[in-house]
Amino acid sequence: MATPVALRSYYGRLAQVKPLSGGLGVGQTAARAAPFSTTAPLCKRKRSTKDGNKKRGVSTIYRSGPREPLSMSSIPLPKPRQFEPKIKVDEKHGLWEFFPAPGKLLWTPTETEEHGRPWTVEELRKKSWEDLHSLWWVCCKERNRLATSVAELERSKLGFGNRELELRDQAVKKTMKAIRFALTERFYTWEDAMDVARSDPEINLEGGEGEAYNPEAYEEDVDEVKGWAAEDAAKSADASEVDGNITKSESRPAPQAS
Amino acid sequence: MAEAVSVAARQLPKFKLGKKQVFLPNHVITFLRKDHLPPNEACFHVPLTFTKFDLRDYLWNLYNVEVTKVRSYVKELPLTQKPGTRMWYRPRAQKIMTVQLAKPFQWPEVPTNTEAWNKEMFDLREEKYEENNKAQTEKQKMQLPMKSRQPLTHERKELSKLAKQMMSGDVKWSNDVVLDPKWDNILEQATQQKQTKEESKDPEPQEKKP
Repeated sequence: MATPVALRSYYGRLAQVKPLSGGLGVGQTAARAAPFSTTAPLCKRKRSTKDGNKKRGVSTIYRSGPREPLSMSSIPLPKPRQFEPKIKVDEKHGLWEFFPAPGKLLWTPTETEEHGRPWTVEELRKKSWEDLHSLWWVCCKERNRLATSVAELERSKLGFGNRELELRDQAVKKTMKAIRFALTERFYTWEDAMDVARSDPEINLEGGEGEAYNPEAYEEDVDEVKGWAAEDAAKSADASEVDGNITKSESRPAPQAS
Repeated sequence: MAEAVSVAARQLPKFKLGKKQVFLPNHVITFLRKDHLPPNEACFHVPLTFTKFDLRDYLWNLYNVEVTKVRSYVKELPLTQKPGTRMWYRPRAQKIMTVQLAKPFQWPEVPTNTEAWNKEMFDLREEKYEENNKAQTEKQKMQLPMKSRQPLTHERKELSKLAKQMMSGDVKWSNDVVLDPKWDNILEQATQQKQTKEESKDPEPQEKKP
C-alpha cells in the first residue's frame, strides 16, 4: 500500500526539481537539487483511517491544498486583471432621462433650486385632457429623476442638497394633486349636467333618429324667453364640451404599464 | 403630426406589450447605481406592487428602453429605531429589480469638484454627529469620559511645558500687577525683619554645635 504513494511523491519531487526553463545546464540542475533526504515527511507516522480515503483532509472549502506538494506548487499563481470595460453610451439612450442631462450625474443644489411654482387648479381648469395627461407624465418622469438624484447623493456622500431636491419634489407633487383636483371637478360637473339633461324633456339622451336637443319654444315667445334661453344654451354648450373631453380621453391610447 | 410620424418610426419591442391602460399612476421608480453590474444591466427600486412585466412595459412606454430580462427580489430592511424615541419598527420592504438592457448603459462618473455641495462642511457635520452618538452610547453604559484618559489637548500640553520651564528657573513668574506704593514701605520692613530673624537664628545652632 505504501509504495505507490511513496513513488508518486518521489515523482512529484523530481518534477519540482527539474528545470522549469529548458536552457539550464546539468551543473546548474545539480546545484539546485533538493535536499538529500526527501522521505522525511513521508516517514511520519500517519493515522490509519478506516475508509482508506486518499483525499482525506483535502478540501477546497477550507483551502487545505493538496496533501503533497505538486509539480507547479512553486510557481506563483497569476492574478486576474482588474478589468472594467468602458463603453460609449448613446446620447439618446432612454435611461439618460433619469439624470438632469446626458452625461451629468447630479444637479448642484443651486441648480436644483431654480424651478418655478407648481401649477394651480385655476390654471389647469382651462386645459384639455391631452394637456393634463401629458403634464402628469412629465411630472412622473421628474419625480423619478429626483428620486434617483436623492439615492445617488446619499450613496456617494457628495454633500448637501437633499433639502433642495425634497422641495422640488414637493412642488411636483402639488402639481399632480392639482391635476387630479381639476379632473375630479370636471367629472362632477359632467355628472351634474347629465342629471339635468335626464330631467329635461327637450333633450333626448336615448339616442336614435333626429336631433338630441329639441327646444319647444324655438320661435314663439322669443323675447320673453331670451334671458334664460341664452343661459341654458351656454350651460348645455359647457356640458357638451366637458362631455367631449371625457369621451376623448377614453378613446385615446395612453401609455401602458402592464 | 410629428407625433404620429415618431410613433410610426418607433419599432415595436421584441416582447409582447401589456394591454391594460393606466392613466394617472403614482409610481416612483428609482434608478440605482450598482458598480458591480455589467453595462448591459440596470437596477431599479420599484413599488412593492410592481411586477416584472410592469417594469418592462413602463420602461418601454415612458423611456423607450427595451429590456430583455428582468430579475427581481424583495429586500427586507433591518429593525430600526425611530429617531429621538425608543420605538422599534420594521421599515417597509423594498422591491429591487435588475433588468437586462438591449442597449448598454453606463453611469456617469461622480463629479470630483464637490465645492457646490459644500462637502467639507458636510463631512464636519457627519463627524460631529458620530462623536455625539458615541458619547451618548457611552453615557448610557455609565462609562463617563474621564479627563485623565482623554488624549492631552494642545492647551494642556502648552501649560505643562511652561510649568517645567518655571521649575527649572528659565521663566520667572509674574502676574503683572502694579502694587500701590504705600505697600512698598511695609514690604521693605517685612523683608528686613525676615532677614534679621534668619541672621539671629542662624548663629545659634552654630554656637550650639561645637
